[in-house]
Amino acid sequence: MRTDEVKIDELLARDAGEIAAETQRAIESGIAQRMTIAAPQQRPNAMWQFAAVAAALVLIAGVVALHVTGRKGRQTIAVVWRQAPAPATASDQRSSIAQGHAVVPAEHADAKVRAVVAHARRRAGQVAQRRGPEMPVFPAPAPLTAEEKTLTLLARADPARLDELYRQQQLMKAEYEQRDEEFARQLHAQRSGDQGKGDLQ
Amino acid sequence: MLDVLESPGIAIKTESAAPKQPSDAVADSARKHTGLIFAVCYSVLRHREDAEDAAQECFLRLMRYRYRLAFALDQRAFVARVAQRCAIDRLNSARAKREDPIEELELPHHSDAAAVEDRLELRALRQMIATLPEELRRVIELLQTGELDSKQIGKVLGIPAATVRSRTARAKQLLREKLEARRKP
Repeated sequence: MRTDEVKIDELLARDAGEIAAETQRAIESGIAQRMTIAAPQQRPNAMWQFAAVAAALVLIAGVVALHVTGRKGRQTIAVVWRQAPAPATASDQRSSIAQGHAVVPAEHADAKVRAVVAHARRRAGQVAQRRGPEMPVFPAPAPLTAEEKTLTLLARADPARLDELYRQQQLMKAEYEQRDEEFARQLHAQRSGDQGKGDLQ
Repeated sequence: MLDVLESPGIAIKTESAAPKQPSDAVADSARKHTGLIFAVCYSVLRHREDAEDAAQECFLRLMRYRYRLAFALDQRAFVARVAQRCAIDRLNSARAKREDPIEELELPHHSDAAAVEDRLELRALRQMIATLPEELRRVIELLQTGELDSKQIGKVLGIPAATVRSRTARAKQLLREKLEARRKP
């Protein structure tokens, strides 16, 4: 027995050598084949494997895409996710016309016009929804002439002045009618005189 | 098409023409790491039959965790960790059944006194390793396999490599003291 110094490293090395020798004997006795004999009984379904891996990859790709694109990407996904507005019906179009919005064919309209028309249709749809589906939509009134617009503005600005103008207009109208009658009488007399002179000659 | 593989003591039928399955990959990995698996199991259990049973259980667990094995950064560390867990479970069940799970070393038949002394020292060392604190014993067991370095042992145990080295030094110091105490009359 060595009593001078304990050589623990040497003992551990010998123990490791024993383990290695035992391992080598186990390998030579075919432990690997005995370990893997149960493999065919536990083969999983390849379809489920594929589906699970594909789902995991899609999930990972989505998370990575969201992380990369940041806030803008999340907003884009939110817009796509949001429910699209309902298509405009004939009633919506009539409401749009009644409110003075132009209906522009989509193929001739640029993006801005399409946006305005879409907004008008949505508003018309909301108004029609508030009114109820059975409420008729009245056609727009005929446009005012220039004179009517002037009179309308004047009436709003000074109603007394409008009355005065109306009275003057009626007086002028009566005077013109009187002048017309006088002129017609003179014309008739003149024609009658000319005819008498001719008869005398 | 079925082939019959001949091995010492056992004949196994395998489908050589079948497409490669994940289980085949696990089987390949198990064959590749057979030595590591058995060495870890034997280092913990110190019993040949128990180590073989633990290695079989380890293979089944690897089949169950084949996707984690496929994505493991260090496959050897992963396999060693599974093997160690299987061996510890086996050790606990063996302890429940019998008092001393450590296999007795066979003594040489010839009358060489030095050889007999060496075997007795080795037997004493194994018993002293078995009495070490668990955190030190696990490090020494993995180190004794000769298959893993400090970094891989750290991955198996979930500790830094520096901690592995410090625990190794503490374990050796404890073993040295135990051996000295045993030699003193």
